[in-house]
Amino acid sequence: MKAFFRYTAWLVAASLLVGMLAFLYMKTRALDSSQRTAVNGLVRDLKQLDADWNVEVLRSKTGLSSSYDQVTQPQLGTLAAEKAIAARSAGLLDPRLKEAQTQLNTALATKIDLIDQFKAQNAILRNSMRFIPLAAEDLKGKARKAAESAPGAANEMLTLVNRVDEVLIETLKLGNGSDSAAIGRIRSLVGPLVTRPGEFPQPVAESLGIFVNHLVTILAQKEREEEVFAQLAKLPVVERIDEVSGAFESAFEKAGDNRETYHIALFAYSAFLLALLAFMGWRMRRSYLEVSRLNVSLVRTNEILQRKAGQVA
Amino acid sequence: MKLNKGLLATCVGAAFALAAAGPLSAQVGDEPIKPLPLKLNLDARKVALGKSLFHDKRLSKDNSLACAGCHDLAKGGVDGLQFAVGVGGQVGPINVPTVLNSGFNFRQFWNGRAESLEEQAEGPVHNPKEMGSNWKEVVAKLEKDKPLVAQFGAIYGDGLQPRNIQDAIATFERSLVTQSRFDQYLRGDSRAISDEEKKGYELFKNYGCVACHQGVNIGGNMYQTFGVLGDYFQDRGNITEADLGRFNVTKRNSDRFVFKVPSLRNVELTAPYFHDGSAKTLGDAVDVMFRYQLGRTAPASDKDLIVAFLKSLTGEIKENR
Repeated sequence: MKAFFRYTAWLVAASLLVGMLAFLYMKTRALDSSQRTAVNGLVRDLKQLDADWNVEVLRSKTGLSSSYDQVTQPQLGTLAAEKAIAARSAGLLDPRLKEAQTQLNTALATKIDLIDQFKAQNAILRNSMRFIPLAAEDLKGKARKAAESAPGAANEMLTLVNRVDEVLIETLKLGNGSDSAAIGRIRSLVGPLVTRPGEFPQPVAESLGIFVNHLVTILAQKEREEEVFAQLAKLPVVERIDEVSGAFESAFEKAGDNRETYHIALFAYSAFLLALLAFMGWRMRRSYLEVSRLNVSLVRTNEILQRKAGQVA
Repeated sequence: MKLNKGLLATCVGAAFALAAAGPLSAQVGDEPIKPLPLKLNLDARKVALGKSLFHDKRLSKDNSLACAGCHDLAKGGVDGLQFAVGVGGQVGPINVPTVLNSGFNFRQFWNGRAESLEEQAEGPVHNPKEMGSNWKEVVAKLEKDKPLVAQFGAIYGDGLQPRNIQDAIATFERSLVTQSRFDQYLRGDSRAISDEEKKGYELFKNYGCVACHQGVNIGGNMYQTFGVLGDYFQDRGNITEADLGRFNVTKRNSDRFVFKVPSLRNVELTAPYFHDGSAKTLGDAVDVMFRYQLGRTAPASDKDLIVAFLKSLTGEIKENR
């Protein structure tokens, strides 16, 4: 039983010594330069993806893209790059790096949300901008027809036609630009029209309703577009990427310094283990010599005893 | 010189409308709708495993309902009902969206609450009105199936795990790609669709349907308010929680009545339409879209042509391409 405990104690002690060696060895290996190269590459990719994404949004805004797939797909690449950076730097366990990664994640989530809003807003705006000239033509045609069939209302119908032309020109000028003053001007022009559809003959009132509906939609979406782009412009995605990159570099440097410390510790520990081994070897040799000496002594004593026993016999 | 504002407005308007409408003849390379990819490079073993799980009723609490119960692949990936029916005959709050081509959607569910198909696969399993189960129960049942456990072990290093069930089902769903005659047309086969369908496609673009229904999946890549140019919900009445759409995810007022734009692929097969299953026919759905999303009228003949075009989007399932 005693021997069992002694062997167990030896085993535990040996495991601890080897475990410590493995720990120090792993600590000196935890950092390799390929990790830094990979993260720097991913940071560059992320910046490029983000820049490409911005270009796609602008292409969509100006009507150069034929679908929103181009605006939607960069999201996947961006998030994948962000996750890859997080995975590659997970071993560094640095609070500043973790915080920078959280901030980047928040900025990207906000960007995704704003771009989702942009797509919805842009689709409506494009449709109404495209339809408004047709709606104006339809309205003017019906107003002219009403003027012909009811000469008493001719002046009013012609005034309506002129007002519609004025509103249409201002609205089309608004086009791809952003001008909050123009939005206010159009609102003031369209205001009187909105309140009066009941005063017009039914076909004119119906067309006027459609025209005004699209006009109001254009103005609302134009304002929404300005809001979304103002928020997108303020969104510090690039700054957040830089912060992640800076925090990674700093954490990597720190880990590098730590590694040096662990190198020294490993060296010292290895020396200690060697000394321990040498001591154990010396102890074993001493034990061996002692056992040999005792063996020789025992053999001699045995021979003497055998000799004496023979004499007695 | 006094400028004739009417003439100017007409010219500018016509030029703008023409520029916005784009060329009248189809330039296949620059279409707002793109053909589905012909190859996906999916792991065939995962697709096969996902297929068996998709049809496995053990994923539901009482072993009565598989994913395929609501997403019937023979019916366009839906159940043909107004609202989903779950375990114990419980009626859900929303119409079942199709699973076909769902791998091309930018988010999953009508309100986009799942970022991926993997995340989506978890939803119905846990929903008490759908499959009413949980992963612990599901895994416990599946663990008794030794061949299935071996199949998981052969594919995934960590064997039968909830995330691997989700991965296999999602991979199978990604394989549910339906190439249509319209895809052939987009690839350059001008005879793949009829003249009537081509006219319908032109009208689809010119009326502005394509503003939301574009890209590879003809939708599924953006959110949109239901009732942009008319108050659909006020006219329909009886507003439910499900009608609030994306608001239920973000709790932002501007997201009330906002939904993921559904794909129009196989739309011929997926009636009734919309999240509330209120439109019984494709014609009804087109009417609602004209009234509330486009805010304009169109002759019945034009709507019929658009419906004809929409029918050219029906395709066949080609798994694991």
